Amino acid sequence: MTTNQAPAPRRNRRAAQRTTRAGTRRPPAKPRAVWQSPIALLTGAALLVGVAIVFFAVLSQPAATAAPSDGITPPTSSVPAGLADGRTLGSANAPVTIDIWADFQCPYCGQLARYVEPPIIDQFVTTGYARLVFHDMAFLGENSSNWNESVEAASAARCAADQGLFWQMHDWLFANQNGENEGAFAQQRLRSIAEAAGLDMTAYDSCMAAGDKQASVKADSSADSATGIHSTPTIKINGVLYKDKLTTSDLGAAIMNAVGTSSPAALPSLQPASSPQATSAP
Amino acid sequence: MTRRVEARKLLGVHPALILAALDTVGLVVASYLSIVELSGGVPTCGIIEGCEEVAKSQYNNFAGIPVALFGVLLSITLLALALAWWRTNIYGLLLAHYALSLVGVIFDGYFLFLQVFVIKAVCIWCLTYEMSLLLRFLFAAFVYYRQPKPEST
Repeated sequence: MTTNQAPAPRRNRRAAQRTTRAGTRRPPAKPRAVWQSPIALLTGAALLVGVAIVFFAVLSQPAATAAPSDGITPPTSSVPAGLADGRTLGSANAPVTIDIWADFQCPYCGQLARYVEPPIIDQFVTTGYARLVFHDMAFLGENSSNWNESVEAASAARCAADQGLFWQMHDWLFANQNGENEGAFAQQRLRSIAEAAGLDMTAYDSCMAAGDKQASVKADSSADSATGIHSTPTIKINGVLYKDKLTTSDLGAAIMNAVGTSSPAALPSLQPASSPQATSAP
Repeated sequence: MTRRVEARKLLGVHPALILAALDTVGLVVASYLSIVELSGGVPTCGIIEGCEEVAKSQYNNFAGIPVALFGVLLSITLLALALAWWRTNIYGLLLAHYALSLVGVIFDGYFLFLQVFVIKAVCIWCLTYEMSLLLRFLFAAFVYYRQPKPEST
């Protein structure tokens, strides 16, 4: 016997379809952990990038040296004999004049003096092609309350110049840098450096006490600042501002360019520099 | 990250415009510092001392480039992101603004540390830029938290 069943109402069919679909529907996705959210991932990535940039910046700065101590470090290079005249090193007849403005506290100036100048002196100054002229730009100690380490160090070097030992003192000062205004050139330590550099300490003490060197350092720094020297080290080669890297190769190339050649082998022959002509320190 | 979400307005304006205004302040300050630096001068600080010492310090350069130039590049990028977010409502642009300003805040924190503890002088222009960047970061974070999030798929 057959029975004609009436079709199920549409409402029931739809309910059945919904039930079927619900059975095959994917389970709801688990909520993401907080650390997997875009903002957390971005924050982490930004922190990493920021720290990496700071790390690179720290590495690219001149090395911060250890805490000041009374231990005095000797320079690793020596001043060539017979070439110094005040704050000038080299023959007055040299075709290239390299003017250097520096602060004895400036770490980049220290790097220049310790690592770049010695090979430049060997290659170009002792051979008579160039002469170095040192200028004070003593500004890093400006905010010091009483003992301005930049000015006092520069004054000590000028007192050394009075004794014919400027470049020795220059090398000893740069060999004993220790941060900026951290006591590396405190009064007693500066005196120890001068003593180690071989100065006559009686003359040194009276020279430093007179105060005229300090005044002239400040006056020269202000005057040069007014002419556009605003950073240290600043280098001019035959009066032209040197803007390339402070490396021996780049500075050497600029000197050779000033001489008019591009290769050390092609440097024109010169009489080797002997005793300097009468030149006045700037 | 290309999902678009209508921005929730703040004080009746799209928050991107407030971010853009802050980016413009930073851009003006960084541009002034860059122009002064590249022309060989030092910024004018009026009665507040410190600018000259910071400007002359070797820490004022990073990889041989004045740090102010990085400030200009960062501000231009942030301004572009803010304006793009305003025009498109693409949610990822807000996140990019947030992340990039955080990178800048970290570097500026380091530079402020150098000014206070190493150079021992604070440049008021640099401080203004640093504060503007911190404000941009905090504002971007605030906007993010009150902003409707796109539906996760």
